[in-house]
Amino acid sequence: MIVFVPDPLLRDLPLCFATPRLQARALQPGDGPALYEAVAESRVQLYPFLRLGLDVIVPADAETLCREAWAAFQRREQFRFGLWTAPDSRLVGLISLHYGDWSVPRFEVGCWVRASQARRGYATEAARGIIDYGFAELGLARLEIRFDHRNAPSQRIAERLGFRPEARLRAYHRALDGVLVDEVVYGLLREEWADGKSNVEF
Amino acid sequence: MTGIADPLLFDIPDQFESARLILRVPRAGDGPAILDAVAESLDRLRPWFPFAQGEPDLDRFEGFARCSRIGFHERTSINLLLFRKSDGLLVGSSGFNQRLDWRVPRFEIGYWVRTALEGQGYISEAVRAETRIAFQVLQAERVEIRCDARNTRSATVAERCGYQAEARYRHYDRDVHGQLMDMLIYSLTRAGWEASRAAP
Repeated sequence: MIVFVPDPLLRDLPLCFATPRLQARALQPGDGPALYEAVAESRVQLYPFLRLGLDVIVPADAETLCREAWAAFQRREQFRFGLWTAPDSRLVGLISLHYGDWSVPRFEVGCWVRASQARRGYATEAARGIIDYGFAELGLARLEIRFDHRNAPSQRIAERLGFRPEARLRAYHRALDGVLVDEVVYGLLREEWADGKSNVEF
Repeated sequence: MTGIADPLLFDIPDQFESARLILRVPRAGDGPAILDAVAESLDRLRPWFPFAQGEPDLDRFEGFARCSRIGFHERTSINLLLFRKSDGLLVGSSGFNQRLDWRVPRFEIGYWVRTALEGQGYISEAVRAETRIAFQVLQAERVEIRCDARNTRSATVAERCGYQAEARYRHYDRDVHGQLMDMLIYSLTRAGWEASRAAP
C-alpha cells in the first residue's frame, strides 16, 4: 500500500490560527462554560440544522464536548476550533474539520456562529482560515461542505468561498425534527484554492 | 415512516432469491468458495478492489465471511453472496455495505462478479432483487450505488437498474495505485422506485 500521508499522529500542528477579526484556538479543557453560554443563547437557531454535535443541555456536557474535541484533535481525527473575538475574548462560534479520510486526504468543513453574532461574516472569515489550515498544515487534497438542503446560509458560504456544487443527495438524511431531507455537497480541490478564494471560474 | 429506531430488533431473513440466484448472508465455511471465485477473476477485479491486490489468501476471505455474519447480526452491513440456483456455483458478491443509515433508512449496494459469468446479467438481477429487498423489507427511503468514475461497467449496472446519476465527487478517494480519483454517486429514492413499478 502506498502511503501518501505519513502517520498523521506524528504531524506537528499549530493549535491556533488567526483571521482579521478572530482568533481560532483548538477547543480544549476549560472551554466548556463559554461554549455552554454561546449554545444556550442559540438553541432555537441551532435546531434543526445542527450537525456539529452541539447537543449541549447542561454545562457539564459542554465541558465533556470540549475534552472530547481536544482528544480527537490529538488523534488527528477531527479539528475543532473555538472562534474568539480579539478584544474581549468572547466565544463567537466554532469552526471544524471533521468526517475526514487521511488516505486521500480529505475533510469536511463545519461551522457554527452564536445567534447574537450571526450575519457579520464571521463564518466565511473563519472558513477561509480553516481552509488555509487544511491545505497548508494538513496537506489535504480535497475539502467539502455538506448541509441540509434547507440551510441557505451554508449554501451562501460555500458559494462565496468558491466551492463547486457536486451533489444534491435526495432523501439522504433524517434531520433532528424527523423530516427526511436532501444533503447538498460542495467540493473544493487543493489546486483550486489561492489567496482566500477559489481561483476557478465557474 | 420515521426510520428504524432499533435495527437490532428488526428481523431480517438471511437469505433471499431471484429468478436464477440465491442471495445469502455469508457464514463460517464460505471462505474457500469466495477464494475460488476471486482467484480466477483477479485480472478483472484488481483495478477496482483493494481485496484483490496481492496473492489471494484463504484466511482473508474466511475472515470476510465471518465478519459479514457478525455485521448482519449487528445490523451494520448486510453483505450477500450470490449462488447460482442451478448448480450452487458462487457467482459473486453483492449486498448492502457498511455505509447504511437506519434512521433514514438508506443503504448502499456494492458488487463484483466472477469473470467466467460476466455479461450474463447476474449482477443486474442481484441489484434489482436487492433494490426490491431494500424498499420492501428494509423500509428504505433511498438506495445508493457508487463507483470509480472510470468503472463504466459498474455505472452501466446502476443505470440499467433504474438508478439516477446524482453526483461526481472530485478527488474523493485514491484508487488501488494511489492515484486520486472521482467517485460517481447513483441513487434511487422510494418515490422513484414506486413510479418505475407503476409504469407499464
